[in-house]
Amino acid sequence: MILILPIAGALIGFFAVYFLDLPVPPGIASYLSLAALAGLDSVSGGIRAGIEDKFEADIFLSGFMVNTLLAGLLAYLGDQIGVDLFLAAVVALGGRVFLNLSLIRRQWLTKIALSRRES
Amino acid sequence: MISPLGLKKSSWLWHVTLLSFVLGMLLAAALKTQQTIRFKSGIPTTRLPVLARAWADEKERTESLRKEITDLRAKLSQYEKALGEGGQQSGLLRDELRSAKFQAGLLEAKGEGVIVILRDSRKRPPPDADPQLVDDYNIHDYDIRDFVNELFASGAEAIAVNDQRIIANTSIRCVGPSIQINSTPMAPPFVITAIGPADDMESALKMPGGVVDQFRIDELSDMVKIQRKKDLVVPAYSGSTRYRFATPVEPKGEIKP
Repeated sequence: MILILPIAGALIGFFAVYFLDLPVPPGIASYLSLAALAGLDSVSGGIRAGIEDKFEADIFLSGFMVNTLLAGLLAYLGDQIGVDLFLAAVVALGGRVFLNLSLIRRQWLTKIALSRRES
Repeated sequence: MISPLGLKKSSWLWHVTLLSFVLGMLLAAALKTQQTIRFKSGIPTTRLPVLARAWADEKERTESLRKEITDLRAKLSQYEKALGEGGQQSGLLRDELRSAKFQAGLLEAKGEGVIVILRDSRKRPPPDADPQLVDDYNIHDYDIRDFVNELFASGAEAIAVNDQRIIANTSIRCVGPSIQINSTPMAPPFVITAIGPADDMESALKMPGGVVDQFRIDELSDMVKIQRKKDLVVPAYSGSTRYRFATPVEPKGEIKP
Protein backbone atom coordinates (compact mmCIF):
# COMPACT_ATOMS: atom_id res chain seq x y z
CA MET A 1 0.00 0.00 0.00
CA ILE A 2 2.43 2.63 -1.17
CA LEU A 3 -0.33 5.16 -1.73
CA ILE A 4 -0.73 5.73 2.00
CA LEU A 5 1.95 8.43 1.99
CA PRO A 6 0.37 10.68 -0.68
CA ILE A 7 -3.06 10.22 0.84
CA ALA A 8 -1.76 11.15 4.29
CA GLY A 9 -0.03 14.18 2.79
CA ALA A 10 -3.23 15.34 1.15
CA LEU A 11 -5.19 14.89 4.37
CA ILE A 12 -2.64 16.83 6.42
CA GLY A 13 -2.62 19.68 3.91
CA PHE A 14 -6.41 19.68 3.80
CA PHE A 15 -6.90 19.90 7.53
CA ALA A 16 -4.07 22.39 7.97
CA VAL A 17 -5.79 24.90 5.70
CA TYR A 18 -9.32 23.98 6.73
CA PHE A 19 -8.80 24.60 10.42
CA LEU A 20 -6.31 27.46 10.11
CA ASP A 21 -9.14 29.59 8.76
CA LEU A 22 -7.18 31.38 6.07
CA PRO A 23 -9.18 34.15 4.50
CA VAL A 24 -9.80 33.58 0.79
CA PRO A 25 -11.35 36.33 -1.34
CA PRO A 26 -14.62 35.01 -2.82
CA GLY A 27 -13.73 36.55 -6.18
CA ILE A 28 -11.21 33.84 -6.97
CA ALA A 29 -13.42 30.97 -5.78
CA SER A 30 -14.02 29.35 -9.15
CA TYR A 31 -10.36 29.65 -10.18
CA LEU A 32 -9.33 28.08 -6.91
CA SER A 33 -11.63 25.12 -7.52
CA LEU A 34 -10.17 24.73 -10.98
CA ALA A 35 -6.63 24.91 -9.62
CA ALA A 36 -7.54 22.16 -7.17
CA LEU A 37 -8.80 20.04 -10.06
CA ALA A 38 -5.58 20.65 -11.99
CA GLY A 39 -3.64 19.62 -8.90
CA LEU A 40 -5.68 16.43 -8.70
CA ASP A 41 -4.86 15.74 -12.33
CA SER A 42 -1.12 16.22 -11.79
CA VAL A 43 -0.99 14.10 -8.65
CA SER A 44 -2.93 11.24 -10.22
CA GLY A 45 -0.68 11.53 -13.27
CA GLY A 46 2.39 11.40 -11.05
CA ILE A 47 1.19 8.29 -9.26
CA ARG A 48 0.43 6.64 -12.55
CA ALA A 49 3.87 7.49 -13.94
CA GLY A 50 5.46 6.24 -10.74
CA ILE A 51 3.68 2.93 -10.95
CA GLU A 52 4.63 2.63 -14.62
CA ASP A 53 8.29 3.41 -13.76
CA LYS A 54 8.21 6.42 -16.04
CA PHE A 55 8.36 9.04 -13.35
CA GLU A 56 10.40 12.19 -14.03
CA ALA A 57 10.61 14.59 -11.11
CA ASP A 58 11.08 17.76 -13.16
CA ILE A 59 8.16 17.04 -15.50
CA PHE A 60 5.96 16.22 -12.55
CA LEU A 61 6.83 19.31 -10.49
CA SER A 62 6.70 21.76 -13.38
CA GLY A 63 3.50 20.13 -14.64
CA PHE A 64 1.82 20.67 -11.32
CA MET A 65 2.73 24.34 -11.10
CA VAL A 66 2.12 25.23 -14.73
CA ASN A 67 -1.13 23.29 -15.08
CA THR A 68 -2.53 24.75 -11.91
CA LEU A 69 -1.71 28.31 -12.90
CA LEU A 70 -2.65 27.81 -16.52
CA ALA A 71 -6.06 26.37 -15.69
CA GLY A 72 -6.80 29.37 -13.50
CA LEU A 73 -5.55 31.83 -16.11
CA LEU A 74 -7.47 30.15 -18.90
CA ALA A 75 -10.70 30.31 -16.92
CA TYR A 76 -10.01 33.95 -16.13
CA LEU A 77 -9.41 34.70 -19.80
CA GLY A 78 -12.65 32.90 -20.65
CA ASP A 79 -14.55 35.03 -18.16
CA GLN A 80 -13.05 38.16 -19.69
CA ILE A 81 -14.00 37.36 -23.26
CA GLY A 82 -17.31 35.74 -22.36
CA VAL A 83 -16.51 32.18 -23.42
CA ASP A 84 -16.91 29.49 -20.83
CA LEU A 85 -13.34 28.20 -21.01
CA PHE A 86 -13.83 27.16 -17.41
CA LEU A 87 -15.93 24.25 -18.64
CA ALA A 88 -13.30 23.27 -21.22
CA ALA A 89 -10.69 23.07 -18.48
CA VAL A 90 -13.04 21.08 -16.24
CA VAL A 91 -13.81 18.60 -18.99
CA ALA A 92 -10.17 18.19 -20.05
CA LEU A 93 -8.79 17.89 -16.55
CA GLY A 94 -11.66 15.77 -15.29
CA GLY A 95 -11.21 13.39 -18.20
CA ARG A 96 -7.54 13.06 -17.47
CA VAL A 97 -8.15 12.41 -13.80
CA PHE A 98 -10.47 9.57 -14.73
CA LEU A 99 -8.02 8.20 -17.27
CA ASN A 100 -5.14 8.27 -14.79
CA LEU A 101 -7.21 6.64 -12.09
CA SER A 102 -8.31 3.86 -14.39
CA LEU A 103 -4.71 3.25 -15.54
CA ILE A 104 -3.57 3.13 -11.91
CA ARG A 105 -6.28 0.58 -11.21
CA ARG A 106 -5.21 -1.55 -14.17
CA GLN A 107 -1.56 -1.53 -13.16
CA TRP A 108 -2.61 -2.52 -9.74
CA LEU A 109 -4.72 -5.42 -10.92
CA THR A 110 -1.95 -6.66 -13.23
CA LYS A 111 0.50 -6.56 -10.37
CA ILE A 112 -1.81 -8.53 -8.13
CA ALA A 113 -2.42 -11.07 -10.89
CA LEU A 114 1.31 -11.48 -11.50
CA SER A 115 2.15 -11.96 -7.84
CA ARG A 116 -0.56 -14.61 -7.56
CA ARG A 117 0.86 -16.50 -10.50
CA GLU A 118 4.35 -16.45 -8.99
CA SER A 119 3.31 -17.78 -5.63
CA MET B 1 11.59 -4.42 -2.31
CA ILE B 2 15.21 -5.06 -3.23
CA SER B 3 15.63 -3.93 -6.76
CA PRO B 4 17.74 -1.35 -8.56
CA LEU B 5 14.57 0.64 -8.84
CA GLY B 6 14.11 0.76 -5.08
CA LEU B 7 15.69 4.17 -4.62
CA LYS B 8 13.92 5.69 -7.58
CA LYS B 9 10.65 4.24 -6.47
CA SER B 10 10.77 5.85 -3.05
CA SER B 11 11.88 9.11 -4.61
CA TRP B 12 8.78 9.43 -6.79
CA LEU B 13 6.67 8.58 -3.81
CA TRP B 14 8.10 11.50 -1.85
CA HIS B 15 7.56 13.92 -4.70
CA VAL B 16 3.99 12.81 -5.07
CA THR B 17 3.45 13.07 -1.33
CA LEU B 18 4.78 16.62 -1.28
CA LEU B 19 2.45 17.72 -4.04
CA SER B 20 -0.43 15.79 -2.50
CA PHE B 21 0.09 17.99 0.51
CA VAL B 22 -0.20 21.09 -1.69
CA LEU B 23 -3.23 19.55 -3.39
CA GLY B 24 -4.88 19.01 -0.03
CA MET B 25 -4.34 22.65 0.81
CA LEU B 26 -5.82 23.73 -2.52
CA LEU B 27 -8.86 21.50 -2.03
CA ALA B 28 -9.43 22.81 1.47
CA ALA B 29 -9.12 26.42 0.31
CA ALA B 30 -11.55 25.78 -2.55
CA LEU B 31 -14.06 24.05 -0.29
CA LYS B 32 -13.77 26.79 2.26
CA THR B 33 -14.41 29.56 -0.24
CA GLN B 34 -17.45 27.80 -1.61
CA GLN B 35 -18.79 27.37 1.90
CA THR B 36 -18.12 30.99 2.70
CA ILE B 37 -19.99 32.07 -0.39
CA ARG B 38 -22.90 29.78 0.24
CA PHE B 39 -23.47 30.11 3.94
CA LYS B 40 -21.98 33.34 5.20
CA SER B 41 -23.00 35.69 2.45
CA GLY B 42 -26.43 34.08 2.02
CA ILE B 43 -26.02 33.62 -1.73
CA PRO B 44 -27.52 30.23 -2.52
CA THR B 45 -25.38 29.51 -5.56
CA THR B 46 -22.17 30.44 -7.32
CA ARG B 47 -23.64 29.84 -10.77
CA LEU B 48 -22.92 32.81 -12.95
CA PRO B 49 -26.26 33.33 -14.76
CA VAL B 50 -28.23 33.44 -11.50
CA LEU B 51 -25.72 35.77 -9.93
CA ALA B 52 -25.72 38.00 -12.98
CA ARG B 53 -29.48 38.42 -12.77
CA ALA B 54 -29.38 39.09 -9.05
CA TRP B 55 -26.66 41.63 -9.66
CA ALA B 56 -28.66 43.42 -12.34
CA ASP B 57 -31.69 43.57 -10.03
CA GLU B 58 -29.54 44.86 -7.23
CA LYS B 59 -28.01 47.51 -9.46
CA GLU B 60 -31.41 48.73 -10.53
CA ARG B 61 -32.51 48.96 -6.93
CA THR B 62 -29.40 50.85 -5.94
CA GLU B 63 -30.03 53.27 -8.76
CA SER B 64 -33.60 53.92 -7.68
CA LEU B 65 -32.52 54.29 -4.06
CA ARG B 66 -29.86 56.76 -5.01
CA LYS B 67 -32.42 58.80 -6.87
CA GLU B 68 -34.67 58.70 -3.86
CA ILE B 69 -31.89 59.93 -1.59
CA THR B 70 -31.32 62.92 -3.81
CA ASP B 71 -35.03 63.68 -3.81
CA LEU B 72 -35.28 63.32 -0.07
CA ARG B 73 -32.30 65.57 0.54
CA ALA B 74 -33.85 68.26 -1.58
CA LYS B 75 -37.14 67.89 0.25
CA LEU B 76 -35.43 67.98 3.62
CA SER B 77 -33.78 71.27 2.87
CA GLN B 78 -37.13 72.62 1.75
CA TYR B 79 -38.72 71.54 4.99
CA GLU B 80 -35.94 73.01 7.03
CA LYS B 81 -36.40 76.29 5.28
CA ALA B 82 -40.13 76.15 5.92
CA LEU B 83 -39.48 75.32 9.56
CA GLY B 84 -37.32 78.38 9.92
CA GLU B 85 -40.08 80.55 8.48
CA GLY B 86 -43.08 78.89 10.09
CA GLY B 87 -44.17 79.64 13.65
CA GLN B 88 -46.15 77.53 16.09
CA GLN B 89 -47.96 75.69 13.33
CA SER B 90 -44.80 73.86 12.37
CA GLY B 91 -44.75 72.02 15.71
CA LEU B 92 -48.21 70.67 15.05
CA LEU B 93 -47.28 69.71 11.55
CA ARG B 94 -44.19 67.92 12.75
CA ASP B 95 -46.17 65.83 15.24
CA GLU B 96 -48.68 64.92 12.60
CA LEU B 97 -45.95 63.96 10.19
CA ARG B 98 -44.32 61.83 12.84
CA SER B 99 -47.50 59.94 13.58
CA ALA B 100 -48.17 59.41 9.89
CA LYS B 101 -44.68 58.10 9.35
CA PHE B 102 -45.04 55.79 12.34
CA GLN B 103 -48.25 54.35 10.98
CA ALA B 104 -46.66 53.84 7.60
CA GLY B 105 -43.81 51.89 9.18
CA LEU B 106 -41.15 54.42 8.31
CA LEU B 107 -40.06 54.80 11.93
CA GLU B 108 -38.44 52.23 14.18
CA ALA B 109 -40.83 50.83 16.77
CA LYS B 110 -40.18 49.26 20.16
CA GLY B 111 -42.25 47.52 22.78
CA GLU B 112 -43.23 44.12 24.11
CA GLY B 113 -44.29 41.26 21.92
CA VAL B 114 -43.19 37.91 20.58
CA ILE B 115 -40.56 36.61 18.22
CA VAL B 116 -41.29 33.58 16.09
CA ILE B 117 -38.40 31.62 14.60
CA LEU B 118 -39.21 29.45 11.59
CA ARG B 119 -36.66 27.08 10.15
CA ASP B 120 -36.62 24.08 7.87
CA SER B 121 -37.02 20.77 9.63
CA ARG B 122 -33.83 19.28 11.05
CA LYS B 123 -35.06 15.87 10.01
CA ARG B 124 -35.07 15.07 6.34
CA PRO B 125 -38.12 13.46 4.79
CA PRO B 126 -37.89 9.73 4.08
CA PRO B 127 -36.64 9.16 0.51
CA ASP B 128 -39.83 7.45 -0.57
CA ALA B 129 -42.12 10.19 0.77
CA ASP B 130 -44.53 11.66 -1.75
CA PRO B 131 -43.73 15.22 -2.88
CA GLN B 132 -46.73 16.68 -1.08
CA LEU B 133 -45.21 15.49 2.16
CA VAL B 134 -41.69 16.65 1.36
CA ASP B 135 -43.03 20.19 1.11
CA ASP B 136 -44.03 19.99 4.75
CA TYR B 137 -40.41 19.79 5.84
CA ASN B 138 -39.49 23.24 4.54
CA ILE B 139 -40.65 26.75 5.32
CA HIS B 140 -42.46 28.39 2.41
CA ASP B 141 -43.52 31.89 1.59
CA TYR B 142 -47.14 31.02 2.39
CA ASP B 143 -46.12 29.84 5.85
CA ILE B 144 -44.58 33.22 6.58
CA ARG B 145 -47.64 34.95 5.16
CA ASP B 146 -49.90 32.88 7.42
CA PHE B 147 -47.89 33.78 10.49
CA VAL B 148 -47.76 37.47 9.67
CA ASN B 149 -51.48 37.49 8.95
CA GLU B 150 -52.33 35.72 12.18
CA LEU B 151 -50.11 38.08 14.17
CA PHE B 152 -51.75 41.16 12.68
CA ALA B 153 -55.17 39.62 13.27
CA SER B 154 -54.39 39.09 16.94
CA GLY B 155 -53.35 42.68 17.51
CA ALA B 156 -49.75 43.06 16.37
CA GLU B 157 -48.88 46.67 15.67
CA ALA B 158 -45.49 46.35 14.03
CA ILE B 159 -43.98 43.26 12.41
CA ALA B 160 -40.64 42.62 10.77
CA VAL B 161 -39.34 39.41 9.19
CA ASN B 162 -35.54 39.14 9.30
CA ASP B 163 -35.40 42.91 9.81
CA GLN B 164 -37.66 43.64 6.85
CA ARG B 165 -40.55 45.73 8.12
CA ILE B 166 -43.96 44.60 6.92
CA ILE B 167 -45.74 47.65 5.51
CA ALA B 168 -48.85 48.25 3.46
CA ASN B 169 -47.43 47.11 0.13
CA THR B 170 -44.98 44.49 1.36
CA SER B 171 -44.94 41.28 -0.63
CA ILE B 172 -43.78 37.92 0.69
CA ARG B 173 -43.05 35.61 -2.15
CA CYS B 174 -40.97 32.68 -3.24
CA VAL B 175 -38.34 33.40 -5.90
CA GLY B 176 -36.38 30.34 -6.92
CA PRO B 177 -34.62 28.89 -3.90
CA SER B 178 -35.09 31.91 -1.65
CA ILE B 179 -37.91 33.96 -0.22
CA GLN B 180 -38.13 37.65 -0.96
CA ILE B 181 -39.71 40.13 1.39
CA ASN B 182 -39.78 43.76 0.26
CA SER B 183 -37.79 42.39 -2.70
CA THR B 184 -34.95 41.48 -0.34
CA PRO B 185 -33.94 37.84 -0.69
CA MET B 186 -33.52 35.91 2.54
CA ALA B 187 -32.88 32.37 3.71
CA PRO B 188 -33.95 30.41 6.77
CA PRO B 189 -34.11 30.81 9.69
CA PHE B 190 -36.86 33.38 9.43
CA VAL B 191 -37.21 35.50 12.55
CA ILE B 192 -40.58 37.22 12.80
CA THR B 193 -40.53 40.07 15.31
CA ALA B 194 -43.99 41.30 16.29
CA ILE B 195 -44.83 44.10 18.73
CA GLY B 196 -48.26 43.78 20.28
CA PRO B 197 -50.18 41.90 22.99
CA ALA B 198 -47.87 38.95 23.64
CA ASP B 199 -50.51 36.77 25.33
CA ASP B 200 -53.09 37.22 22.60
CA MET B 201 -50.59 36.70 19.81
CA GLU B 202 -49.09 33.58 21.31
CA SER B 203 -52.43 31.95 21.99
CA ALA B 204 -53.69 32.91 18.54
CA LEU B 205 -50.72 31.21 16.93
CA LYS B 206 -51.01 28.13 19.12
CA MET B 207 -54.74 27.61 18.97
CA PRO B 208 -55.87 24.15 17.86
CA GLY B 209 -55.96 24.00 14.08
CA GLY B 210 -54.02 27.28 13.95
CA VAL B 211 -50.84 28.12 12.11
CA VAL B 212 -48.45 26.37 14.49
CA ASP B 213 -50.47 23.17 14.26
CA GLN B 214 -49.51 22.87 10.59
CA PHE B 215 -45.93 22.17 11.58
CA ARG B 216 -46.51 19.11 13.71
CA ILE B 217 -44.76 16.64 11.43
CA ASP B 218 -43.51 15.18 14.64
CA GLU B 219 -42.15 16.42 17.93
CA LEU B 220 -38.51 16.44 16.87
CA SER B 221 -38.71 18.53 13.74
CA ASP B 222 -38.39 21.77 15.72
CA MET B 223 -39.57 24.10 12.96
CA VAL B 224 -41.40 26.74 14.99
CA LYS B 225 -40.18 28.51 18.09
CA ILE B 226 -42.15 31.23 19.84
CA GLN B 227 -40.58 33.43 22.50
CA ARG B 228 -42.10 36.32 24.43
CA LYS B 229 -39.90 39.35 24.81
CA LYS B 230 -40.22 42.50 26.89
CA ASP B 231 -38.09 44.83 24.78
CA LEU B 232 -38.39 44.26 21.08
CA VAL B 233 -37.25 46.60 18.37
CA VAL B 234 -38.81 46.47 14.92
CA PRO B 235 -36.73 48.35 12.34
CA ALA B 236 -38.14 50.98 10.04
CA TYR B 237 -38.98 50.15 6.45
CA SER B 238 -35.83 50.89 4.50
CA GLY B 239 -36.87 50.26 0.92
CA SER B 240 -38.11 52.56 -1.76
CA THR B 241 -41.29 54.56 -1.09
CA ARG B 242 -41.53 55.81 -4.60
CA TYR B 243 -44.99 55.72 -6.16
CA ARG B 244 -45.00 55.62 -9.92
CA PHE B 245 -48.67 55.12 -10.72
CA ALA B 246 -50.77 56.11 -7.75
CA THR B 247 -51.30 59.76 -6.88
CA PRO B 248 -53.24 60.97 -3.86
CA VAL B 249 -56.77 62.27 -4.35
CA GLU B 250 -57.46 65.47 -2.44
CA PRO B 251 -60.63 65.11 -0.40
CA LYS B 252 -63.37 67.53 -1.33
CA GLY B 253 -64.24 70.22 1.17
CA GLU B 254 -62.57 70.75 4.52
CA ILE B 255 -59.40 68.75 5.16
CA LYS B 256 -58.51 69.89 8.63
CA PRO B 257 -60.41 68.29 11.52
